[in-house]
Amino acid sequence: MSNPDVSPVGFAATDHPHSPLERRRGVWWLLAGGLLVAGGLAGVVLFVWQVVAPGSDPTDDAVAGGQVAGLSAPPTPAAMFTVEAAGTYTVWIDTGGTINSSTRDAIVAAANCAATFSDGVTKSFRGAVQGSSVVAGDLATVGTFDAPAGPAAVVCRSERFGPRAVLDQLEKERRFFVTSGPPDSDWVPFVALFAGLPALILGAMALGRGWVGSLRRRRPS
Amino acid sequence: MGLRDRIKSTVSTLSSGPSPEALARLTPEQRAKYDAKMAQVAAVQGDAAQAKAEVDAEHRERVARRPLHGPAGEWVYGSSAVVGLAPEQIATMTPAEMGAWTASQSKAQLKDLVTNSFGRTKPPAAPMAPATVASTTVRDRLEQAAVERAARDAARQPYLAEHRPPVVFSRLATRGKTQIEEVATYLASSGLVARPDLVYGLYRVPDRISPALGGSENGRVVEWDVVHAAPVPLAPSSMPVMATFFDGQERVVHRRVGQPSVVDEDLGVAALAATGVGPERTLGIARHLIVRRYSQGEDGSTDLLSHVTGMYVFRPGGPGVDAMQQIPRPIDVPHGGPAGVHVEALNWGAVARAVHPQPHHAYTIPSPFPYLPSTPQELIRMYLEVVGVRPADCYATSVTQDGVSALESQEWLAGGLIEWSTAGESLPCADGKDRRRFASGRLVMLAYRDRPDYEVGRQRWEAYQTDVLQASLENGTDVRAPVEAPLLDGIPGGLRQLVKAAQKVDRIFATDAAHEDLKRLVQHRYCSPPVE
Repeated sequence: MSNPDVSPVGFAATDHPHSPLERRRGVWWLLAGGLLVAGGLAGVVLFVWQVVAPGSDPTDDAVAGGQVAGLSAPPTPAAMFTVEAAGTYTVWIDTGGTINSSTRDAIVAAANCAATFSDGVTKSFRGAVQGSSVVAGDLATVGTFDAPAGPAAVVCRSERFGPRAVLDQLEKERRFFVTSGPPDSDWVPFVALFAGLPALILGAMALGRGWVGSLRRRRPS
Repeated sequence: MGLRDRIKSTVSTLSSGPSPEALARLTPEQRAKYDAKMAQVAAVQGDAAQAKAEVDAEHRERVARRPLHGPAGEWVYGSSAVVGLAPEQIATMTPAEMGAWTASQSKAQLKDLVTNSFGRTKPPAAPMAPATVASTTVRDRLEQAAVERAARDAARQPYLAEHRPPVVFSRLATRGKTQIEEVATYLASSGLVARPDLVYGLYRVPDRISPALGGSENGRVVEWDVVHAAPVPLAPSSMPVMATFFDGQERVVHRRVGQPSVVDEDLGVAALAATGVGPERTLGIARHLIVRRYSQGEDGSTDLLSHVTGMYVFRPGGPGVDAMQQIPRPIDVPHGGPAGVHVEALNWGAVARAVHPQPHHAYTIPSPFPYLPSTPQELIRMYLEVVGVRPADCYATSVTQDGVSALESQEWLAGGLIEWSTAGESLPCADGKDRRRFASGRLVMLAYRDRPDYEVGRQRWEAYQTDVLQASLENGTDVRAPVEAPLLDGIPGGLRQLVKAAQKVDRIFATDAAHEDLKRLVQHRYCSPPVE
């Protein structure tokens, strides 16, 4: 609804061809703003891509797989594989069907594994003492071990852990997988997000600053 | 006499008093007692009548002080009718009539409590002027607005001044950060700087454009109106414009507690007079207004505030020392305003409550009160045309604000809280683009060199206000309100220091650049703190 009393003249002070002033956009501000916005957007997109989009399945790279023996069940057969070159391996447990995060944490913490190598050395590790468990969908890490070259065998079983309410869950046999290398860390998308958001805000401010620019005397044409 | 007859007789006695026969049967002692009681009743009735008369007189006085009378006043402020009955009616009431009257009052109050628990004023049930066109599209609304406007213009004809220069509002779009330079440049490129005798005044349009983007106005569009009498474009001028800023925080005028506070326009005129500049060489006195959001508390809520930080005096000038800055302080500003100058303050806020109750929308069409102006610019035009003020006599003409106003919490905002994501419509801006805007003007200020024919003009304006606008818009403006004691007066010295320190900390932690603005909030501009 326009005001019938008012005659708009626009940005007459700077847009009129005979105006002694002109608005000069802040090119450097615009450039910096553009870069910051682009970087910020990239960070946010990376976060969304890594966290929201379905990620790669660690089982694709599995070198061996077996069953985690239930709490009161007999031991399960060992997962056998050959280590081509000495390196780090990771054991993942499939917590499939567990929605409650406390229960899932208890399942992971209750998992006890032992890796035996050709030189007779056995390394034991527990889900409860791995620091932090990396989660990918239904899979969660139990721990990692360094293996020398040669045949290797991994056995896992559930030990009593956590409240009584989760003991039923520990009775179930669950699948585990051994993958080569340490688990991919999941902090990168969060760093990208926390760096990207401030970059977006700063970029928008810089763009605004550059767009407003400054007033200067118009150069004679 | 049966039981029923006795009851009838008792009720009759209660409602109309004892009959002459019953009085005649009384013993002298009983009669004396009766007369004494009746005298007491008469005295009480007399007191009640006097109290009622006082209440009614007070009510009439309050009604007379309203900016709006007539239907708009009734809607905005409630009924102007004297509350209840006339004193003589109460004095002659029987106890039964008094009981019935009290019961009816209570019933009405109870009904109002149930139907309108929050005491919200509602738009009038039926518009004063029904729509003459079906208002369904923007075009229809424009047509309706034009019809109403034509009726108002016609009603003004008998009151117009014989000689009245044209009134043109040129609306300029600027960016907040460079608004003063841009206004100065426009005054030069439009040629108006060379013809200050054609300029009524200029002002920052007190609307917040893109109010949802709450922060600083530096990068936002800020509009200015230049009010002038040049209907055709003038040749551009190379004459520079001088804009002198008076900071509201600086004490340039001495005032004591209880004395009238300083009006920006008064100070501007006094400063111009001190440098020997008359209105014919003045482009305008414009209050510097900021409209932005400020964080309130820790819950992240924000308030849209407008506040006046000072004023600019625009005039043609050359490079060199600004004589106005050299005026010795304190500047002498008479309590009633500079002699020979008339400063008029009109309460646009009151009109807006009636015709533009939702400041984040356009004004209401069809207007519920079509005899009132729809915009503050129309009100300015009305005043200038009726009084016949010439631009060469004008120091200032503006739509503006005063002090600090919390715009969204004004009690009269229809619809309560404003939800930016869903409410408000985009309205045309000076650059041709449509944006959301929040209208915040409350005052129309005019300052001009007085003349005898303007006194006659103001009589016409008075008659026009009474007969057509049904208003007294000079009421309720709070212009030259008495200076109040500083807020920390009376607090022990140590505690005062503590409060001041807390205020400083509060400003430091105020979000973004808002603390720079908050520094500029003073109780009374140009005269705080008051002198002893």
